[in-house]
Amino acid sequence: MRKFLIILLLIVIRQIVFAQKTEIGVVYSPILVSKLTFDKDYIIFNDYTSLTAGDNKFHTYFTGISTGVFYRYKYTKNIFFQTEIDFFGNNFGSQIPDWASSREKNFTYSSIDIPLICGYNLNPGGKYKLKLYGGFNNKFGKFITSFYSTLSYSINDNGNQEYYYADITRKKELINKVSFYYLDIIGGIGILKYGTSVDFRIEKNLTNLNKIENNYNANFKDVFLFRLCVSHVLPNKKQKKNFIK
Amino acid sequence: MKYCVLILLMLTIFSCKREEEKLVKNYYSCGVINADVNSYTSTQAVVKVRFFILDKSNNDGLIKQNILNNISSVSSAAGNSQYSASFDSLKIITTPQKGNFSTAVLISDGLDMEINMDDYINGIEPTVRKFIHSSVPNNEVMIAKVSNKNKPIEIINNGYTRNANELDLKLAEIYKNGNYITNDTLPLLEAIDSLINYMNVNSSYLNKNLIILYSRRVNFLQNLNVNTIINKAKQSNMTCHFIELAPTYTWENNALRNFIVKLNTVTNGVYFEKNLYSYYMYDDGELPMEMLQFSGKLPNMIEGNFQCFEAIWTINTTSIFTVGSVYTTTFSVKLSTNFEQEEIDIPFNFYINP
Repeated sequence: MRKFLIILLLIVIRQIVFAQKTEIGVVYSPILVSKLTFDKDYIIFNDYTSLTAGDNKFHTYFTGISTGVFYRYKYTKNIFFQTEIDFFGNNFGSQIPDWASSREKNFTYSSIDIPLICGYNLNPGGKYKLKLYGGFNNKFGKFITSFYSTLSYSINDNGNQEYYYADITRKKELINKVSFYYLDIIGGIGILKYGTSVDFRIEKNLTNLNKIENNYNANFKDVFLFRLCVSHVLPNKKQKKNFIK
Repeated sequence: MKYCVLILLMLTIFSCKREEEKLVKNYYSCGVINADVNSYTSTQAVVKVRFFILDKSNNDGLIKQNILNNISSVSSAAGNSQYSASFDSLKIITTPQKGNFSTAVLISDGLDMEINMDDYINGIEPTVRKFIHSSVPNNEVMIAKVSNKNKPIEIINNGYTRNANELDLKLAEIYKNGNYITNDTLPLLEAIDSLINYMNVNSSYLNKNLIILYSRRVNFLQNLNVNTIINKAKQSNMTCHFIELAPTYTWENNALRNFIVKLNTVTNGVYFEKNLYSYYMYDDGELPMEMLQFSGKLPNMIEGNFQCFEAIWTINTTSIFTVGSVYTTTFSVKLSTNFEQEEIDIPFNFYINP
């Protein structure tokens, strides 16, 4: 798998420098359906409290401004390679049953995603182009942002931020248990028209999600993500000029 | 389009702000290490009360300042008796070293009435867990559960342990499922009796302790004599501590509470009551800090060599002090917070020892 990744990366780098059949664009992911599972029934926190671990159900979330840029190289008429740099939200709040009924039920963190994808266009000449693709998604970091609702605060009389949901501490602790890097397998299907594509992506972790495994505490087991992605190809000035000449 | 992406990127980066520390206000809680009756007559008792005050805004938590001018008695009534007390002396002392300990925490699950006890259950679980984690590895701890008539006592995870993590998941399981309705009657006395037998055989240390928690039921089986159990605990050199998280008036069965109070007082155990009269506003989901602060210090109190206040009170009653009975009264201490003077009530129980 490592060899495959290196070869894919080299192809992408080469094509960025030399190739003509390339596309650059933006990708936006407004909706996420996710499921997070644990290996034990309860999560124990540093403040000596506990929560019931995941409910093993899929839940739907709006992921706000989960967005990124992509680079696509058309190897043949049908086959393409694609890589992205995304800032994507990972939402799992309602999946912790004890949080499901609370005012602040979001357990959310964002990560830098770098997917490496190989795809196949089923009908490259068609009006609505259908594509299938698969690959690996490298997930880096755990960024906590106020946009994704993990932090909720108000400004008090002294002008300071005041955090009024106490579960923030436990959410941050849970987020900190996630490994800084893990690898997902990714698959998807999309429809493309006039440079705008609507995709459904499925992801599941391949490597361990946990920073440290604990024998006496619930560890993350698997994460499943179904993501709606909308991508749009940005106009290529070089191609335009060549076309005019 | 490019500008849109740039704006979204900027918004995202600026949203990654660091969390600021919350302002922690002074917030006091108190408890009694033990109360000994030095001497008594039918209408008067001289009682030595060892007590502590905790401040949650202080890392160490223990108040060690001179409170001599801020202490006052509060007259109280119980039944037909009226008490009045006069203050004789106050000093800071260090309790005698008792050494390593063997402690059992006795819990029960289920309720025989429809009542929302979420706060109690949510509060007691971290209290027990923190006590256990703060006790090991120098001391040994165990959890036992009062079950039903057929099986009065259930020893969790093979009894005493020095690895607190082994009990973490089991505790969560018990308390997460604890707020359900049960139809059986709590065989508490039988469970305590069996547990004392178990501890007498299996404890590694002479400093044996029992903490009874979460036994609020309308009914409990009274098939054993309570005084026999109390005497057995005393003869076994068992110290029984009482942590009261729920307000006294919410106990549905006063006989049950009175029994635990007497067991606690006679065996000279620590008595700690959650500060019920504070105006501190908890955040949504925030734990009662005083419970966690206290449970972290309880192992130190049990081991001894613990710094606390010692006050001597002369207590007069309009009725008669009866030998073998337990009485309750209160005094108060005024302390300055960052904002105002706060008066803390310290209830204590004393036992007229035959």
